[in-house]
Amino acid sequence: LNAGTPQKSYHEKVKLSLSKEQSEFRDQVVDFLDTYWHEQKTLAPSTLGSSGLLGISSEAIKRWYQRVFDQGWALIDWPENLGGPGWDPIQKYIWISECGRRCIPSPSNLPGVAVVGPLLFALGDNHRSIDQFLEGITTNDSSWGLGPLDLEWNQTGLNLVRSREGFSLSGREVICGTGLGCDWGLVFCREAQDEYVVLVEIADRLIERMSGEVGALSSGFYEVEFVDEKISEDQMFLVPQGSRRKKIMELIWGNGTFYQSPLFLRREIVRLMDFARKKEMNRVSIKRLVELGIELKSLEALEMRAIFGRDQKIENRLSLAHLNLMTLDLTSRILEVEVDLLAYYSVPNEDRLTTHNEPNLGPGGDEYAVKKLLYINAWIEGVTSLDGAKGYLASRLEATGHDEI
Amino acid sequence: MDFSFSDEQTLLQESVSRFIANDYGFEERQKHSRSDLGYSAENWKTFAELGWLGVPFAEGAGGFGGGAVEMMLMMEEFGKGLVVEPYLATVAACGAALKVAGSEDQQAAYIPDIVGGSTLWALAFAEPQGRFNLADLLTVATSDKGKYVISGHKAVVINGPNANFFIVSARTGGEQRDKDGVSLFIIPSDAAGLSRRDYPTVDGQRACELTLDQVELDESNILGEEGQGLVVLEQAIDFATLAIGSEAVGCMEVLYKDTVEYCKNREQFGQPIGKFQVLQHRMVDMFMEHEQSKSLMFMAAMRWDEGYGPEAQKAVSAFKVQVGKSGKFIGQSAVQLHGGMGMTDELNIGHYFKRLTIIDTMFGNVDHHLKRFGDL
Repeated sequence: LNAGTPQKSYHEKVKLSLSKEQSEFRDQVVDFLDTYWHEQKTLAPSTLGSSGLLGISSEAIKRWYQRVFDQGWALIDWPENLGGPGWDPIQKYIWISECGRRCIPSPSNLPGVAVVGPLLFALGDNHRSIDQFLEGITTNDSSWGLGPLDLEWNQTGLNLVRSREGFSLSGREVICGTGLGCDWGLVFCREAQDEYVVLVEIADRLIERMSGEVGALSSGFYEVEFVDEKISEDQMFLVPQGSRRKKIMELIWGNGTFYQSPLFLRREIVRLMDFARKKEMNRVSIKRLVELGIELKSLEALEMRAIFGRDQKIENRLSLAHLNLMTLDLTSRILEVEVDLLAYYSVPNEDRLTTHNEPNLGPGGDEYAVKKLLYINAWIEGVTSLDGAKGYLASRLEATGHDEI
Repeated sequence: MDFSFSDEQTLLQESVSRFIANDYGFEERQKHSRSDLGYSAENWKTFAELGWLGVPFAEGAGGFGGGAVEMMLMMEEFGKGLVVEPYLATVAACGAALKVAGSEDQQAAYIPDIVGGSTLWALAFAEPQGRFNLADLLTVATSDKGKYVISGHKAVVINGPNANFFIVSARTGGEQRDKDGVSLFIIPSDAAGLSRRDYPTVDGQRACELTLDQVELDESNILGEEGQGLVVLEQAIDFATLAIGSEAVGCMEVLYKDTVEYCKNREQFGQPIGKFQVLQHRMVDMFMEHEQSKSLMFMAAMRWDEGYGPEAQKAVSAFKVQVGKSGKFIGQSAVQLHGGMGMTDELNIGHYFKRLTIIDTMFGNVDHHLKRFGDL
């Protein structure tokens, strides 16, 4: 039993408490967040309401991440010589979880930071410079978006054609990025039997921006069209086949793609719980919220293992990508409950809203429950389908040779 | 913050794992479960020799000074083998109560015998009307001239048929559901006025209905302070919940892995059924449910070792909820993916599912722990 009274060498390991150095690092992180994140929130609150994720405008998010870049803490998975902070897994966890606790959204240029950079480190070779692409990310000047991430799961609308003059790209595709814009896109394309990662400039190829600003949750779905777009060799990276291809895909899915700590959902649940209690809602409603709280706790525990497991190989079968999808899935269900609990408050009908608006959710906050739900569902099913991730995980389990499916 | 195990912990886990793999096959388990005792006395002796019965107890009492993490490691391995030996009742549940509330004399008198394997214990806390409310007691102990006289009825006392001692909760004051006024008593199984109706449970364990008719005890039999037994009982039950949840995680791992293995070998339409995407996704869901439960198991054990309080209680309840839900999903999926085979008595799948089903109801089901988590 020994609650609180560790004995003998049994307890030298496996502990949740931080060491002195780790505590000092956390204090440093907390100070930074308390100072600068609070400042951004205070200076530029969202006009869209004060609830949870929507309590800060996207412009403020952009300024906030510029501050994080200036601090040198934005590129947490990057090598130190390219701008990474050189953190160990526990330091990464402390940063991610403390951001999560404050509902700080993913980096404004998450695709660039989490996918494009690490992918170029893996695919780039010594014969050409990848700096031209990395520079904009390290200075936070260019925003990136992503096309479908695996051709085995998704059909791409793009055609890569080889001719005597070189390669050209044609077709339409939806690029997913953040709501802050999309300067460059990373897409997968096939030419004959070969698969390439192609980096393309978006700019005037944009046909339609399909989603607008939804507070800090802002996302961007950009439909682009290319007509015989010349692609230079500097823009193309051949994806190797076989086990190396698996490693590349693992890097994309396992390296924090779209990663955000599930802890950011805690405030959403607490907010809804307060609302349900204030309205004296029935036991069934409260129970639904408690269930969501427990699911969040399990994701929190899973997150710890996933992050530590990446370097310490305790559970290297776990994937952050799958955790992400479960987080999104939970987010979706929280929003479903939110829409459900708010009932007619959430129906975007102007007459009803003016009559029954719920002041605690902020002006228009009720409408956002619906908007958020649509957004999250589009994200889950549109960009990274849950089925796709399951297929990935099945293949990953197969790769371990231990739990082959 | 460190998630890796110490050498001692690794050795402990490996020794249990080896025993389960080499000496505790499904056939042996079924044989022990169907014997008169309902478990193997030989195995119990081995547990004692290997020091497993002393893992959670302090060195001064002959134990090894382990904590929740060690209990978690052992029970997870026990779960993989569907172990029927009464470790949970004797060491995890009653051992916890003795450790939390036992006087020096009581610990010196009882714990060495538990560690040595010569006595078995059972925690008699449940009553038919009480559901999962530990304070809802109709069993009453009245005191008179330094003696206690206890009368009442205890239901589903796990390991009751084999126990040498019972720890029984009874009301020494207050109303039927009051938190104050609950006391715990150590009662030898041969005490006058004690009678049992024994039966096997659906998961191959042994239990009894215990009737106490004017059982006379002296003051040395009370465990902890009179009227303050509920706090002790809650802590012991929480520790047992953590232990049984860990056992469930072990059960889930076997179900998930055996199902994967079966789907790789069973052919239909000219190929292994594991190649079908729908089944692959179901197995990935099983895998993730297992991993979520295992993650919460780690969290609950580590929170416990940091100190018993609301954080540890919340973690234990969250763990039990997850175990209840995941156990049901994984059990049902394993049976379905095995087809009709999964229902047969000859195959282990159904037995693991039955154990998981019982585990869900023990020490509070999903609904109970959901409510508790919300209230904490």
